[in-house]
Order: sequence, then C-alpha cells, then structure tokens
Amino acid sequence: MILLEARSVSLNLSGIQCLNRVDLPLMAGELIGLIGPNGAGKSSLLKVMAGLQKTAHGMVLLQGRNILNHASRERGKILGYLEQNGDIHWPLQVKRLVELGRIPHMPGWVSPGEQDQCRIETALKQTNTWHLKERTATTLSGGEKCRVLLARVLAGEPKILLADEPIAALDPAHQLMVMNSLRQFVDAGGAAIIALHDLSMAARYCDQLALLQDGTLVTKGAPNEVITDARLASVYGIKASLSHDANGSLSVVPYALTFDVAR
Amino acid sequence: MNSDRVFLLLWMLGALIVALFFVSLTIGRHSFSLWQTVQALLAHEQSVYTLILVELRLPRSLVAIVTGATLGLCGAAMQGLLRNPLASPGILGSSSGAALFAVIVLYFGFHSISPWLLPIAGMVGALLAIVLVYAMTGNDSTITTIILAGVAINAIAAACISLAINLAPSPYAVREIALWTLGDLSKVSLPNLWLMLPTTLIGWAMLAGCGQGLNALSLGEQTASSMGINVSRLRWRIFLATALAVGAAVATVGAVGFIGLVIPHLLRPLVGYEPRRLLFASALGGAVMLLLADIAVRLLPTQNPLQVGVLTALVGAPFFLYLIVKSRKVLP
Repeated sequence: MILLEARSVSLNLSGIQCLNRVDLPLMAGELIGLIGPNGAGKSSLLKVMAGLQKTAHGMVLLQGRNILNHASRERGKILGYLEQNGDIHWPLQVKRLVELGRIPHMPGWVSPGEQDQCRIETALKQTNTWHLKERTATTLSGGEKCRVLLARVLAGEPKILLADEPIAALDPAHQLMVMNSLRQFVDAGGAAIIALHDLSMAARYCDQLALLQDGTLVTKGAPNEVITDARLASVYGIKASLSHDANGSLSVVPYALTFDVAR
Repeated sequence: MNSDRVFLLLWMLGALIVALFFVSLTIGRHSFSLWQTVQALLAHEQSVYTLILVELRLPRSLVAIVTGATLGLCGAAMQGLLRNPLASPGILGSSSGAALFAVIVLYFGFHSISPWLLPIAGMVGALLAIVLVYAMTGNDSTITTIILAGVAINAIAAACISLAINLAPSPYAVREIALWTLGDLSKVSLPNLWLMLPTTLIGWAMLAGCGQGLNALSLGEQTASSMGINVSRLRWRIFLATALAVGAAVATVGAVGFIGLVIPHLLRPLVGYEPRRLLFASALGGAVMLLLADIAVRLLPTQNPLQVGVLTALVGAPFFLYLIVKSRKVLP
C-alpha cells in the first residue's frame, strides 16, 4: 500500500529549480534513504512531501489524497517531520518538549491524558532518552538533543516519518542509536524517508535508496544497485572503495575526488 | 516544573491582585474608612467619600488591573511568537500608533469636543499600525521582515509625536501631550473602563486560544507547521489581538512601558519556560505590577504627581537588566 507519494513534483525557489519532476512513492513498512550531494534537493523534497512547501508542478498524495487538501491537524497526526538541526527555543524540560509531539492529538487547552503520557513514555524509551526526562532540553549534548527531538516526533504516533539528516553531526554511537530507533519505527509498521549523507549508514539501514542530483531523481532501488562506482563518480564526483561487511551490507569509504571535480 | 506549583503560582498572583485592589481603593489624598464608605454606598447615602470611591478610586484600580493584565498577556504572547525574550507588546507599533493618534487629538484639542474621542482615536491608531505592517509585509514574510516593518512604524509614530510637541500651539498643550505619553491612571473614569473593555476582552479571548500554537513554535516554524499549526494565521491573530487590547490600554492610560517586557521574563522560569502556561501567569503578573506601581505613585511624596509610566520604566528597566544578567546562562 502506498502511504505517501510524490508525483512529478517540481519546485522553483527564487528562480532556481530545486526539484524537477520527481516521482517517489513510499510504501508501508519501507525505509527509504534519500541521498545526494549538498544542494541536490533532499531537504526541499522532504518539505514538499511533508506538505510544508507548495509545488510549482505535480503533487504529493497522502493516503491517496492531495496532501494540501488534508486538514493540517489530520496531516500532523499521520505524518511526522523531523527538521534538520531542529531548534529548541526555550529551556523546556525534556518530557514537556516530547509532550509537544502530542499536539496534533490534543485540543488547545487540554492537558495530556493517560494515553498521551503513555505514548510520551514509550517514545522516550524507544530513543533511549528516558533517563533525560527531567533535564533541561537546551543543556543537552548534540546527540542527546537529536534523540529527544526524535522522541518528540515518535510521541505523535505518526504512520509516516520524514527526517532531514537526523544523524549529521552525531558520533558513531549516537548515529547507530538513532538509526536503530528509525528502523524499529519502520519495522513496527511505519514508513520513513530519511535524508542521509553517510552512504554506509544509508546502505545498512534502508530498504531503498533514492539518489538525487540537481533536483532530479537519478535512480531508486536497493542500496547495492544504487551505489556503484560509476554513480559515485558522476553524481558525487568521488572515488570510493566499496566492500561488503560480514552482514552483507555495503560499506562506502571515499578516498579521492574524481578529475572533474578536482578541476 | 510540575502543574501543582504552577497552580500555586496562579493562585498566589490572583490573591495578590485582590489584596492590592483593596489597598488601591484605600489610598489617596483623602483617607477614609473603606468599610464605612461601602456601607454608606449600600445604604444609598451620598457623600464625598462614596463619590471618591466610586468615581475615582474604583475605576482607577479596575483600569490598572485590566491594563496591567493586557500588557503582561500581550508581552508573553509576543515573546512566545517571536521566540525572543526582548519582544514587547508594542514591537509592531500598536502602542506608538495609539499614542500618535491620541496625541493628534490632544494637539488639536478634539478631546474638548467629546472625551470619548481620545480613547477611540488611540484604538484606531493601534489597529492602523498593524494594518500598515500587514500591508507592507503580506502573508509569507519572515518574522524579521515583520519586526523591521514594526520598527519603522514605531519610528514614524515617534517622529510625528515629536513634531506635534515641537509645533504645539501652547506650553499647556506640550505639557498635556508629554504627560499623556508618560502614562497616567489618575484621570480614568468608569466610562473609560466600559469603553476599553470590549476590544480588550476580544483581544484577550483571541490570545487565550493561542497557547498551543505558541508551545509548538518552541520547536520552530517548520516543525510547528508539520504538527498542524497554521503559523501564518497564528501570527496575525496575535498581532491583531495585541493591537486591539494594547490599543485600548494605551488609548485609556497612555504608554506604560516595561510591564509587557519584564513580567513575562520574570515569570517564565516559574512556569517551566512554557509559552502556554506563561500567558495566564503573565496576565495576572502584569495586573499585580501596574497596581503596585499605581499605589506607589500615590504614596511617593513628589511635588508633581508622578506618572505611573515613569515609575514602571524607572523600576522596570534596571530590573530587566538584572534579569538578563541573571538568566543569560539559561536562555539559549
């Protein structure tokens, strides 16, 4: 079943073509890694697919209906969006911050009920942040903050999760923790699209990779098919050693720029 | 910060308002027993004291509560919206717009035609300032553009007020304009209160529903939108509500500064920094601060009566500085 689908989506922002006729369906139980160099349009595509950005052409279908025709609160219940480098503007307590994820489910003046508290607790435990719940969010380390913000999204019980570079700037342990949480979310029946720069992580955790270049979807498929020497050269302008680890997943270690980029 | 402590804070502020309200009723040039005067009132006896109580001190105290609550509430809403503890209710020009229109009325002496013209002009001025900001920035401007437009409106209004003082026909008019812009509760009457109440209540009601949206904005505009908050609508709802309520307040008592800035800042740690909880607490806190200031100006033995806005600024500004120094480690 297709939960979310970008259909021939094009986007122009102040004269620059950010996205050019991108088609990307997301099925239930699928984790798609969105890869591509800086400026390829990963963030733009996620914003468009989250219904936060209107498109010039094409449309995004959420459960078969144009996402812009969904009531925004209903959309918020189904679809969670994790911003890149999400800001925390006030020194809120961690559990109050994660509680914000319940907003789509709560009318304005109501305090969170038992079910809400239950979901908040689950989200904190899923992301290994239960021990941080009394802390002040603005005093957390980068890795802790990132996991807490993930807990915020998960507390809203979305069916679909769109995450923009959730593991950029994290140490390896935190990267694995966040990717594990995301994998768990998908295996429990969710679906997610995650923009990633770490190609090995993308290959290890994602079912499908979608490769973007200059706003165009170059290819989409299993990690082994998408990441090839030829594409790394033509899209990223790098040479990398590709190997398979003990679990059979692809490992990508870049070691040189190709001639084109070096020039 | 658990809810019980927040409730306790709200109850304490509420009790403080009631206590200060009664203190405010008993303080003035004439001292008389509040109890006996109320009894006389209930027995429908007229005396100088019942007149002073009902015509002067009661409206003065009630307007102080309403105005203080407006400034505190609007300050909290504006700071939550802009995610900036330095925002004040008048940041988009509603206060100075109101002040300018009131000054125009004072300048031409229109208020001698009808005393109602002064507050009405103030409200129109506040609304006009917001409409101008909206017309200049439209629906999808960034918050910075909107603030800059507000700064420009503020500057234009301040320039025009200076012009009015500069060209004023008589020293008396200069004094009247200058004192009015400093904020004064001593001349308010019950009709003033009735006039300011409708727009004030509409503004309060509009802001009361904004708490959740402000909470969501703690995580930035994109994330708030993704959770189903219409950020643009929330923004203009708060701007309009602030113009209505602050416009009415400034039009009635003049520009009383620093309450909308200091009170939310002071109370924020006590409600766990949560914008929604801060709204109501700040409204109560604002009422407490203006009541206190208005009691103080009556008690201070100055030659000319001290304008209440002068006192709030004199006390508020250094206190604000202290709060900033104290909280600079906590705030991001």
